[in-house]
Amino acid sequence: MRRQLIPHVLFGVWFAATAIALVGPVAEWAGARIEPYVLGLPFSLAWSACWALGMFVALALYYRATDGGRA
Amino acid sequence: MSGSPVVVSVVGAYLALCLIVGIAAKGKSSDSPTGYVAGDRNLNLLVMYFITGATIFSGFAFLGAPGWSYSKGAASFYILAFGTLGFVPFYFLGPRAARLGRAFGFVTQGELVATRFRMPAIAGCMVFVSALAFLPYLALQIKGAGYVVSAATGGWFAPWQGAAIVYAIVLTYVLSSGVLGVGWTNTLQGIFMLVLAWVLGLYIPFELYGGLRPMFERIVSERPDFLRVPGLAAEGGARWNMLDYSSAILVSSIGFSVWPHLFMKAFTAKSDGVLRRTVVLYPTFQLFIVPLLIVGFAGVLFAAPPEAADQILPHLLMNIDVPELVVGLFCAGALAASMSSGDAIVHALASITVRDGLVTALGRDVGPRAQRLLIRVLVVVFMLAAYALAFGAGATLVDLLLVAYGPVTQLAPAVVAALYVRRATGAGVLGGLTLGIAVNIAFVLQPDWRPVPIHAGLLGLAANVSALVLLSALFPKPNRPEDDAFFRAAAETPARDFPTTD
Repeated sequence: MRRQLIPHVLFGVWFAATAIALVGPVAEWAGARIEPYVLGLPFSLAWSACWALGMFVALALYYRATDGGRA
Repeated sequence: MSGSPVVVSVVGAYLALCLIVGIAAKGKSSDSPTGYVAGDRNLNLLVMYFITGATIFSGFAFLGAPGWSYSKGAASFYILAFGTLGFVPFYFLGPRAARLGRAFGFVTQGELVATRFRMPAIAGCMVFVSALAFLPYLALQIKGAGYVVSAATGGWFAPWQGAAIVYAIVLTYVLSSGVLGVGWTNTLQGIFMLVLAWVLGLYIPFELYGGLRPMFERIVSERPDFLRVPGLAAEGGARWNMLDYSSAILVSSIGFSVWPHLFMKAFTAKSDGVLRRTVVLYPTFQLFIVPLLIVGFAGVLFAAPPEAADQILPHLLMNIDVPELVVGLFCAGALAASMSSGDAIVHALASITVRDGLVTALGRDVGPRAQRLLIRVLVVVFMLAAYALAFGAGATLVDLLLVAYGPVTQLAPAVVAALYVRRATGAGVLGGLTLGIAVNIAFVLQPDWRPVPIHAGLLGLAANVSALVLLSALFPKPNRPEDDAFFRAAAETPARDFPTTD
């Protein structure tokens, strides 16, 4: 694989993982859990919130790795 | 405690500040339609961050989100989920559209798509879809503002009177300052919303239950399934089904980037880098949904229920012991949420009606001055129409929004095809759009006709994409030099992050 492609592929994988985590059977599985509590939030809510936070981190890394979209 | 002098003065001061900031933006952009509609393509990261964040998070977020978590439990997590996924495509679509905007002078989504396919009718179709979605959406904002003013003044103003006052202010700064009025006030309103949501979301559970975890533990012990996805389908009703929950997230995510008032902000950014950084930072704004959901949960075990679910936040504040200053600030924050979406929507709807409808679709030769005048006239017309809708129709805030989202989602294939797919043709796009909207509306009106129990917008999308692919393949168009120029302009990446003019 060409080196420049790596950040694009990684970001694509992360985006797909986020989508899978938030809809369908995986969301149903994680969303059915109340424990463990995370910072006082039930697991089902913390799950959705963490993926939002994760998307911020992923986008920031992707932006840096691709030199702001120019690479 | 509502109607106290402190609450009324905080709200009054906030409204006055909005008016001053909004009017102060006047004269900072040129006198051209590009100045009024796209701020001369010169907005920086700070304003872009708030213009997108505060535009997206409307009165719906401030009142509807706690209303959902209060009445439907875990169903409300769908709001967090679609926001996380929905804005990401804009990272790619936005800068590409912006480059085309600079090259060809576009300030709206419809112009871009219609020019790419050399088919003005597409722009007309997009105006129709936008109006269909925007009017109920704007009505929601107006209605929300009315509730807030009425609550803040202890019923001294009826909702219809309160809404009239607030939206007279919005009208004033949108008319005087165009997109900069929207952008500057959204910055102020965005800061307000963020700070207040977090303060209230942490304060109320501590005040009522002694902490977040004790609150959630009590909810679980009394209503074991309430916090488990997918939550309830309706207030006090049966559980939502997972297929519906998931498809609602998908429809809302796909439609997110192509909402015309949001998409056209691509044409306002100073540079591609500013646009991308706006998308990168957006989830930090999005997370403020979490404290708002918490507030709704805080109301679940509260003894006296509010009249309507989406009044849970003001209801709690009015009935628990909080300092009057906090109540006043909350009211101002909720108004900020309503106004920051309402202003962007009415500005966008008027702009695209003139640019896409009149100039592009109908081919009328309207000069720049007349365009600006017409946009302003339409701002007033649409505002009045939405106002009538707000106080004439009955459905709750979020149900209306779900219906409005579907048709807008049908724009997504057209936009993606215009920006990326060389083999797509105008006939394919127009056919797909028409079919998608028809299928969508049919299934919204007759949910029992759906072949599978998923969101009507997703079914429309399936029909839309199929028609687009099929028609484009059956009636291909030879490649023309204009197409080459279009895609060259779309792909060109400036070497440095410098502002460009058109």
